[in-house]
Amino acid sequence: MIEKFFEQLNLLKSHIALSSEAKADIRDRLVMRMNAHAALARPAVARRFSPLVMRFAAVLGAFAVLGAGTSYASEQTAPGDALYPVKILNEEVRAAVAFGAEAQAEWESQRAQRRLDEAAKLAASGKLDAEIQADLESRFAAHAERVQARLAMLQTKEQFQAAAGLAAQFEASLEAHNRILATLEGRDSGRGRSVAAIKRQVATRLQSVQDARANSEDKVDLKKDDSLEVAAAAKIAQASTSILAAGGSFGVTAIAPPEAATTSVGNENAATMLAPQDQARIAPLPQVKMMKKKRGSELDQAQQLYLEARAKLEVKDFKAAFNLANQAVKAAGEAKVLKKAEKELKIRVQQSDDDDDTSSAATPTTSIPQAPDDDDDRTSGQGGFDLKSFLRLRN
Amino acid sequence: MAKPDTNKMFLEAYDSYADAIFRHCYFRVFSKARAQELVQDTFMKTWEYLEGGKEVRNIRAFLYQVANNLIIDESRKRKEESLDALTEGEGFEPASEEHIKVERAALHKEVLRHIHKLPQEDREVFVMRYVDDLDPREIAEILGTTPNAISVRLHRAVKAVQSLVEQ
Repeated sequence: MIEKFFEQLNLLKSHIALSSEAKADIRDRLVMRMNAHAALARPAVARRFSPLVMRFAAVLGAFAVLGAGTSYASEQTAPGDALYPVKILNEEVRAAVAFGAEAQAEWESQRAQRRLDEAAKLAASGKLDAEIQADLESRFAAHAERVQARLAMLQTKEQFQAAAGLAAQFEASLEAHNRILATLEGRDSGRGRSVAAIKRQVATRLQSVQDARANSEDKVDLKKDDSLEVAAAAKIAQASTSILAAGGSFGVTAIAPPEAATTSVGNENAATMLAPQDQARIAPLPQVKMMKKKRGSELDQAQQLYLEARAKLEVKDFKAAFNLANQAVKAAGEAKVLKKAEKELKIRVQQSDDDDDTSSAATPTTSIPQAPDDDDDRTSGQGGFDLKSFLRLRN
Repeated sequence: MAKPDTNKMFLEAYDSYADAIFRHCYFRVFSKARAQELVQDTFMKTWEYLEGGKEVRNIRAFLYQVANNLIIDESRKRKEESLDALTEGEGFEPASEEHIKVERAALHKEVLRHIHKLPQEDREVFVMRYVDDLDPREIAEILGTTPNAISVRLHRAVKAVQSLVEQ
């Protein structure tokens, strides 16, 4: 009997190993943890500070590593500032403790954005010299590489919904910074070359990420075991949150009459395709109040895409709904970055080539006949998409 | 601070022993998620030790030592749950291959059940010997005792398993 037990034990233990993904995740965290100390010793940074400042930074960094608190003061710094090494160290620590590959990739995407924010800030104040530019560029490249590696892995594993989402988030930041840097490049003739070098790298990455998003969006419905319906609803909810975060609103609930419904969603009224029982379960669609602010075009575009996504959801075209909402998230993300840059850098960012077509985006007329009153839709606060209600109605 | 060759050695150790440490932890705590966390903690703690400039003569033994200490610390802090509670929702066969037959899965669970019933001390040496394939001398080095003492504990553990199997 005991022989049989050992036979089974040997068989069982041969099945037990870390998944390759988990093994790679832990390895990445270890490497980031190992790099956390090295970050303080990077030459481009270290040369700028006295030993006393470095020691102070190390002490603050040690507190961060130990979880005793983070230096908020360092968060607003750029290369050349005394507390910049602390900011980098804190980022490394946060990367090391980010749970899961998704969270790590998102954080790397944010870190890439931070480097571009810093480059823009320094360029705007005429402090982006060649040394800092090279340092920022290499840091940006490292973060971007990690995001793109994760994107490639998601695509290989056919997790196209996650890939499309990650690509949209990163693309929003790259697109916005491409335009911010173009504005600064034209404005500052003295430092233009440093800005141009970073901008070139951003443009190259942008093209690649755009392709990855388009490719992933094309395949979001390939994995049959995932519920694309729920994924589309969740993406719409995310779009609504992103639009609100970018300064948009869904304050007006007046619904245009059905006969007015002609949109880029299609020439037919989407809702007429619904069975009555389906119409009844759909929450009323709030008309989006158009923003007429300076930074309106991306936000308008986001709102337009959001409306179209909801219309597609209602006619059960979940793939289109997911992709439109994903693009709405991207547009809202771009609007948010641009708005912040214009405010902080006191610049007016040039319109992109795509922005010429803003007249149609500014006047969305998507409209669905109003379903019976459903107070649940208003629980989302400002008329955004309420995922919980959707899921409840769906079940 | 650790030297560059220490970094290299450490990462090579991770690549070589991460699966073995995971297996060890799994047979001690019976939860994939916990075992995974323990692997991470084990290597983090080992790195912190090396980072302090300290030397490790036998990295494999050191990793088992750290993992073992973490498991013991955890078992002191919380009461051990039933095997069913520990394996609930994650499939107890960590490879979770769909083709593993239900019958085989039941046998595997039976194996885990017997190991789970061993007292912590006996389980510790039993897993090191029959899951990790460490010999008594290596186990003694990890646990800071003599090979003879380990042999005695192993004999007791095997007897205990045998009686559980025959019940």
